[in-house]
Amino acid sequence: MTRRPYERPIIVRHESGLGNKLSRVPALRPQEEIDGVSVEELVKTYGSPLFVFSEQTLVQRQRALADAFAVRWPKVRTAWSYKTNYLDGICRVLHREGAWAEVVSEMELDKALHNGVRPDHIHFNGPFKPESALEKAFRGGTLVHLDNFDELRRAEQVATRLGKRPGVAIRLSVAAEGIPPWTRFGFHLESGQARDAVRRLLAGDKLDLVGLHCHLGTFLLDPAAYREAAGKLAAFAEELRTEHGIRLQFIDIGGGFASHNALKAQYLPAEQATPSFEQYADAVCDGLRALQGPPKELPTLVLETGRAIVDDAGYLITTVHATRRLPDGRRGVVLDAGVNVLFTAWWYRHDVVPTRHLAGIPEPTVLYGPLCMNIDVVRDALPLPPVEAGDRLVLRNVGAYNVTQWMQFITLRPAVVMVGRNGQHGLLRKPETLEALTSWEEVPEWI
Amino acid sequence: MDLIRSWSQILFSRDLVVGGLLLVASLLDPWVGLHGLLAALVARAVAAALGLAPLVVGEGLFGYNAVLFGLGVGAMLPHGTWSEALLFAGSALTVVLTAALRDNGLRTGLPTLSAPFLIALWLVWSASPELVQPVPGPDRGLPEPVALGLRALGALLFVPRVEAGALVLLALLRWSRQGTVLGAAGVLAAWAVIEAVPVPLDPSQATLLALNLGLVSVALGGVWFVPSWASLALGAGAAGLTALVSLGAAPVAARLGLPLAIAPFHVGVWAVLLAMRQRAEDRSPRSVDFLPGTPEENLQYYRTRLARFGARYDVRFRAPVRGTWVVTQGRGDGPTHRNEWEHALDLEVADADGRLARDEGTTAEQHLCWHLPVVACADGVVAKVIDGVPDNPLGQVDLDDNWGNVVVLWHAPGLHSLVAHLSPRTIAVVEGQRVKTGEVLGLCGSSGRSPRPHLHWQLQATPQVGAPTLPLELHDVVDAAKGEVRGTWTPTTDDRLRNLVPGEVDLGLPPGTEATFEEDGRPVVIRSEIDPWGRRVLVCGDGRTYHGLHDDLFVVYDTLAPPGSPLHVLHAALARLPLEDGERSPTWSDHLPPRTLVPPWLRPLQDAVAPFVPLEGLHVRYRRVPGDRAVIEGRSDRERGGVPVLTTRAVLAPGVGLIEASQTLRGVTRTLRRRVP
Repeated sequence: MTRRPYERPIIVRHESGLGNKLSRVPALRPQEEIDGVSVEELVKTYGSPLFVFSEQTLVQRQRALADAFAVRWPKVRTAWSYKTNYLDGICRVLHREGAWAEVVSEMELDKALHNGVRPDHIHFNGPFKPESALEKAFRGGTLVHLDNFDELRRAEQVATRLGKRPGVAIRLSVAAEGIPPWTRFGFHLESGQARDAVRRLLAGDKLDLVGLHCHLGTFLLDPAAYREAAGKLAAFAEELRTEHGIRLQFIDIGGGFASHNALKAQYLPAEQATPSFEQYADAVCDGLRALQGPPKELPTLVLETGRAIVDDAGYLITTVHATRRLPDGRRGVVLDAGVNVLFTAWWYRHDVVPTRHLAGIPEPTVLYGPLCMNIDVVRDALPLPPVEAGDRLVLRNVGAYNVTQWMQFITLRPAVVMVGRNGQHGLLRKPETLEALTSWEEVPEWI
Repeated sequence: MDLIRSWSQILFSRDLVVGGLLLVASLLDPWVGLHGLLAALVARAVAAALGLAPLVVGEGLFGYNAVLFGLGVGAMLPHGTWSEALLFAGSALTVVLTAALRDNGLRTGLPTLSAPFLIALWLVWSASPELVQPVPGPDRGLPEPVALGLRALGALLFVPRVEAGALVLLALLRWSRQGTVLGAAGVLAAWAVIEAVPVPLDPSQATLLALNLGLVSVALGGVWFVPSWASLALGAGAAGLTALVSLGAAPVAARLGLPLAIAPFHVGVWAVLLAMRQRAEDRSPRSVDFLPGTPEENLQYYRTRLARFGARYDVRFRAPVRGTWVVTQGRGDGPTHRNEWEHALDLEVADADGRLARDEGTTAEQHLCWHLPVVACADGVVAKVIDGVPDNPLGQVDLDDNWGNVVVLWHAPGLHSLVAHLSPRTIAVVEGQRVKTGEVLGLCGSSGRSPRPHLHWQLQATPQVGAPTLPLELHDVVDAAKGEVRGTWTPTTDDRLRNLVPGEVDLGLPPGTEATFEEDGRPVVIRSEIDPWGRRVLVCGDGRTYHGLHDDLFVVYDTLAPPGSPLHVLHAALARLPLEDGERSPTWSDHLPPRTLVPPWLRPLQDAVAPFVPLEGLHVRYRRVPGDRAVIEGRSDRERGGVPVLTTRAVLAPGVGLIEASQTLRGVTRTLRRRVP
């Protein structure tokens, strides 16, 4: 008979808010399977920790976004934000649904081309575009969004050298009430810098202005900011049309839609705080109402949504490695996944769900990762019934940024898999091996 | 060339062979024929001097009246300098009169026919001292009706002889087999009249009667009405009318000293055309409301138009919404779409699970179609706006202003559209404003008799709010459930629909440019133009493909080209092309005209029986193959030996446009490839 680990009994004071005849005890509904495939089977096949993506959710979210805007604007284009998740499998699912690509570096541009995206179906943003990147872009007809005057000059030189006259957009930095302005990107609208940029572009006569781009921020919970920004973009577009005769092909309102995560300092849970796609669409299209006319004369509305599409589709399965009792009474749980793989734990209160019904009363628990670093905290004060070593926990809404921003630190990065719409599952990324790691290293001969 | 065409236009044709045959026929009396030629030359010089449109002159449309006049002068006026002077003056006059009446004809829709010729002839008739009637030639042993007919045909050119008539008959056959049949029917009718009339008619009168009746029968049986049993009946009836005019006006004309010539034909055609305009419905016979061609062309065009477009209206209606909506109350459905308001649609938005609202669905704002833009279904003018009716809370209706906030658009005389139950203070248009298809009219709401937010859409004849509905049709709209573009569609309850989204797909043939293709190594030049009447045409050699280019659709209307023309391959491969992007492109289908698909030796027989036998075109299904370039594949329903009778393929490359078009018809493949510089 195996000896069970000893745990000192503790007296827990029952506080108000627990069940009485007028309320119910909040219970955690366990998640035993993801899209019909059991969690245990996934762990047995691919190991733990494990990132799991649901193709069904991905497609549903992409379609919900496209549909919400399609009923409000005649020509809508979604451009998948590669930096949010550039695993080939994820990108190809979205491209299959008709999404273009939105890239912010030469590496991402190459990756998009490697995924079979047509070069002229790519929007290229970002403050850092070396000449080689611009050349690659202009050769293929990629739409470059100019960020600053130096880039404008560089783009003109490259275009002249190639003998091409590419269509480009300019990024605008727009002040909207209630959100911190991101003035480090683009040309400022209110100060007149954007107007100067247009005049400079027209005077140079080497590039064609075909679009406007504005990316307000990240995880914006108030759609009103989009209404204001879209209104300013529409007014600027009208100004371009009346003063310079420019008819824009597209207006890109960027990304920044919130997903169903809750920020650490956020009071309301995500279900209540996160606006729906319809609310964002209402705000954006209402802001653009100054642009009138038949569909042929309206610019295409480009969306660079990232996290709002993929976050909900990503899960992280992790295993409890050890438990401890902290002196202040909280439980501590050591998991095999920490901030090394879950970068977004810095700012979200991720949903944590067990995979079996846990008996017992929830008590304040801290979730730690496997690193021996003090900062490796996944959740700080999570009410959780007692778990044992070997229990699995599923962290939800982790699809965005984690598999691009994760660190190979102290541990090897785990596998990433996708569960298909018919219960099939397969690798999106193999787990890292030491061989792969050391294959990058070289030792100079004097050592 | 335009000289010969001046001759062929006498028979409504532009064919050089037809013109040549008529020229030769007229030269059987050399004096007459030469005068015709002289008149044509004078007309050409006058047309050039007046600066008339070279395109129209080149078609011979300003010359044919002069030719007829010249022939008439040569036949009837005495030889002399005065007659020659009258010839010059009269020919010039016909050109001026033709030009003047063409403008009137375009506006009123009544054809000019040969009125200028008649007017000029009557004027010189009065100005000339003495006149000669052309004497009809001998029968040459042919049965009476045949000789009468041939003489009548010859009389058209003022050479009332059987030999000339035979040449004119050849020209007529060349122009149109159906037309010949119709003409023969008219001549038979004339012969019947001649036999029936108690007073014997003199030969020239009889010949003229046959000519008039024959012409009326052709004009009304096949040129200005689509050939069918009904048009044949109309032609016969009109022939009777013309006979009456002919016989009745003869003594009057004689007293005035004017030749009747083909005046009764004009009177008959104009009277009948004007009278037929007053019909309540343009059916049986159906008038030719498109560019008239030979009776064969008219019939084929109409039949394929019916099969391809089948539309009641000339106006093409798109859905009045953006994105995919679902029909929640269709024709004759529900509590409100009944009786006079039978033909209406209620539209709402449903999510992937079919729910019409999100969350609990307990307020109007939670309904998915709340405050979504409502757009114009076709180009038009805003006829009526009603605003200020408040939205109802969910479940309540307002029966006082039961249409709620409304916008009525005028699209064509007797054709309006109405959208109702809009939200107050969201209407973006004012009365009198011109709107284009797809422009925002207002936002969907729940005003009036509307228990939950929805859009009510109907077509009606008057701008009155709440007028009885006209039958409803949507054109070139996507049936979202089937993923198919429907050419003409009346959706019913639970159907889901959306407009095509204009995309980047482009044929790369902008008007005013030329593209060189290759077929079997031979260069084929295709020119894209807009003709003086504003129609888009692709021109290749002698052939023309008329087409329409909308923001979301390219559609071929008709191809008038010799049988071997490469334009037929283009037509088959690209009959209708939605200009939408995307991997999940809808499929679509079209009908191809039967004439081009019948082997050449069978064509004359098919032409003769076509008005009386239903002959369907070929139904072809098209789909877009996903990939980098736009590849469109077509496949006919009809198969032979397990293989489709027709398969087509078109390839469009980004930035260039159409680079390949091919068809395989009964095993024979023709491919056009674009030469890209």
